[in-house]
Amino acid sequence: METLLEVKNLSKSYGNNLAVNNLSFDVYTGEILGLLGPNGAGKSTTITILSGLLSYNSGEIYFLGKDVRKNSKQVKANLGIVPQDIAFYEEISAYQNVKFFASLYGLTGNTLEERVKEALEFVGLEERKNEKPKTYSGGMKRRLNIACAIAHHPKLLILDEPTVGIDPQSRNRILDAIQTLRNQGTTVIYTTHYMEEIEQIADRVVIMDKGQKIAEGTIEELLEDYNNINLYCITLEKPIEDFLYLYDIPGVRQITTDKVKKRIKIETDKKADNLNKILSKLLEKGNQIQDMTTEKGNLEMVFLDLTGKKLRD
Amino acid sequence: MRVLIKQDIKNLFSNPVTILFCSIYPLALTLLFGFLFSSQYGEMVSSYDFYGIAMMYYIVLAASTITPITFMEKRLQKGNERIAYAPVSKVQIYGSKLLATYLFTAGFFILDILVLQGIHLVSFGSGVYFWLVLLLYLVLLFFTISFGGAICTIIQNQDLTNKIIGAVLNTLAIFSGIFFPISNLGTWADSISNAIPLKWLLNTIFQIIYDQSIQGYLGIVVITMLLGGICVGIIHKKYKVIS
Ligand SMILES: Nc1ncnc2c1ncn2[C@@H]1O[C@H](COP(=O)(O)OP(=O)(O)O)[C@@H](O)[C@H]1O
Ligand SMILES: [Mg+2]
Repeated sequence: METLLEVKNLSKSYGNNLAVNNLSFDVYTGEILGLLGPNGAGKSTTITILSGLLSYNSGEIYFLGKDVRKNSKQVKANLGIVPQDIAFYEEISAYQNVKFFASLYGLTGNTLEERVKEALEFVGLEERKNEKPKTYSGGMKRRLNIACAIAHHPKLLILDEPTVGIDPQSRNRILDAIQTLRNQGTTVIYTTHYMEEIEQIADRVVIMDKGQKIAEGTIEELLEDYNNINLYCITLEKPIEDFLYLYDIPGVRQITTDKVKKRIKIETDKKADNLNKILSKLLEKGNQIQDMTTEKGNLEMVFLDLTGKKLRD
Repeated sequence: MRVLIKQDIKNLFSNPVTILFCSIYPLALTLLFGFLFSSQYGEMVSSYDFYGIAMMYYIVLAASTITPITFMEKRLQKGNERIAYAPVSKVQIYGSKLLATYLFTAGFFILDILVLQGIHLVSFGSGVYFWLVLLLYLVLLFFTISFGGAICTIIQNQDLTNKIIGAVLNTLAIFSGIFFPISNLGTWADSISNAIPLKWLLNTIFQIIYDQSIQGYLGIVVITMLLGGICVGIIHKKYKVIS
């Protein structure tokens, strides 16, 4: 595996606030690396530093083995950035936007025209390319934001929460497009606070919290500890006051409830095969069960276990 | 760089206020003030002559509010940020914005002057003196464009910058008697007016036109260019693409 990008001990503070704290990770050529973390984890700060727009306090970044500080132009020429906030001109057509930004990478003439067309088709905006983006829906703006970053065929595409606030259809379209790009050889860093998206498309994951890396690996690796766990989510008719007796059942590891205490989550060993016991105990104590689902291990649980809090509130 | 300049000029053309400001506004000011004060001027130098020259002078100074728009108008901010992802240098980014602003304003102002001169409403001098006056306006414009850029990169806020520049400029312009003869108010007003440097440069222009005197011309050009250069230096130090 070739290492495309190497981030070593990166730190960045805003005043007293350490937004990125001694962060290290590698990105391998041809992979989608998911950067997962709650709001404020330091994802965007990291991305802005990688894009060359923000200085940092300490650490090193290498792109194909070269120090990015000393080779800023060369590195930038190989990056495609999709920032968290939509970034293009609202008052010129989508086509003009993509063309202008692509031309900054030295594309001209027929190649330029072709690449612009290709990028717009790729995100599904070909038909409305002559309209000004200010008339676009949120999802279309997000897609144009991506088109502006890919027309020049970057080696590394970095996306910062590209699906925030859009409909599921546009979201799926974007996720599909990113996978297609990966399959065509583009390396991708995909930043989000939605663990479902990471599970859907990432080859490897770096989980961040409070500026630090708290876990790294493939999804299988991260979920390894959860292969032996069942998570029962039980919805009750009335709030449950006492549930400590459930801990007496063999295999029960952890029990959490929501605020109104009508939904309880019970983490148990898969091998214990104790669902019957749990349910009968609950009924025996006079609870009425409304609904029950079984969850498999997911990144949300990994995050919860590592930090004691949820990815999203 | 050419692509950048072209885009920045397009952006300027997408703002109707800016276009009106540079095209019609100086002409309208000339007509308005020329008409209002026509009785106070004689045959040789009409009120239109005076106000044409004074208003072009005023508008060249006021052009310092255009650079903050090119640099950091909200509408353009996000697009401008994306430019910085590309392999272009900071110098290219602010340089193209300065140049675009200059070309845009200079284009309109030259047109304004040619129209006023062409319809014989205002005389900006004859023969070589016309060109010297035009050149002086353009040199001054270089300074005001850079000055506006320097102030807004220091303040980092377009609205605030333009409010400050506008307030200071208009106060100075009024007290230096650009809009109406302030000496009517008494000798104190006259001495204030003469103390304000705005007046000196305007007087130089009048001297070129009416006395055909180019005394100090070169000095003024060099100093103005130098001051403009210092402003560009400030921009180079302070310019940030992301806010
Ligand atoms: N421009 C800034 N000035 C000061 N603090 C900032 C700035 N940008 C981000 N921060 C702070 O840095 C931390 C990380 O923010 P950010 O990188 O945006 O996180 P994320 O993208 O993961 O939500 C937060 O505490 C945030 O408040
Ligand atoms: Mg963010």
